[in-house]
Amino acid sequence: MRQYPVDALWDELSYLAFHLHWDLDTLLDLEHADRVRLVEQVAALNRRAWEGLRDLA
Amino acid sequence: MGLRTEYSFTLPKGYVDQAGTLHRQGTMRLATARDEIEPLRDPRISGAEDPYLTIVVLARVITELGTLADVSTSVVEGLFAADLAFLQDVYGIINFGDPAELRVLQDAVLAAEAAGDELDELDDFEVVEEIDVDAEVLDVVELGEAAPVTGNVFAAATASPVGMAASSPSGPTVVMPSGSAAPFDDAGTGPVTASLRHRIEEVRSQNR
Repeated sequence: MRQYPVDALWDELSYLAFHLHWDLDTLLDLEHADRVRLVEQVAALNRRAWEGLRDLA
Repeated sequence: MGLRTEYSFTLPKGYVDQAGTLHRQGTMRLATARDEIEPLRDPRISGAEDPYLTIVVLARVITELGTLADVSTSVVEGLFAADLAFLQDVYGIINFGDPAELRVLQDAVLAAEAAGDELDELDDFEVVEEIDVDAEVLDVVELGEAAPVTGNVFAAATASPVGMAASSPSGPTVVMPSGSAAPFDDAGTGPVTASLRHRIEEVRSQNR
């Protein structure tokens, strides 16, 4: 049966924990699609933040 | 628990409990990281490649099955191979594919099951009494076909629709021994499912 790669799961959980400071239980209970969407949204926010900093420099 | 999405399904065959009640309608929720990480710490699971992992994961995400109070691993273990294969497909589609395909899968398996039932009903007719069996078997030998003389003719039967074969003037007539095992019991039993069956037996014997 097709399942999500475990290493990728931990990468995504760590990424969200690092940026959102949510507890592990909350992150573990996100459905796959919601977790992936959050990772993408946080990454986009990060990108914009870095671009803003670069423009200031 | 956060947002929760569920999909309903109908098993091709259905789970028969100890009282003989059939349970076919069920719901499966979308999986979370917890659903795939926690089973890896289950003492029954040897690793990410353990076929039994499927059983544990499915038991977590199937939220309802008929009137059963709880869908445990023993319930999932007791499913027909065709139902287990179907649920694995459902899991893959709703979590990693396009959930719209679930309707296509559901319709396909129910149509296949209905077709199988019709063949089973045909099997119940005592066609044998109306046919000269020896003559038909001789025909098969003369034509040099692969069907064994003393064996059944399942190969020929499944190669062409049963109704056509019975009325065909030259083709081998379907002579299904009325007491024989149904030819479709193994439908859906692929290599993966076979290894899973073996693994279930291992886990059961370890827990005794």
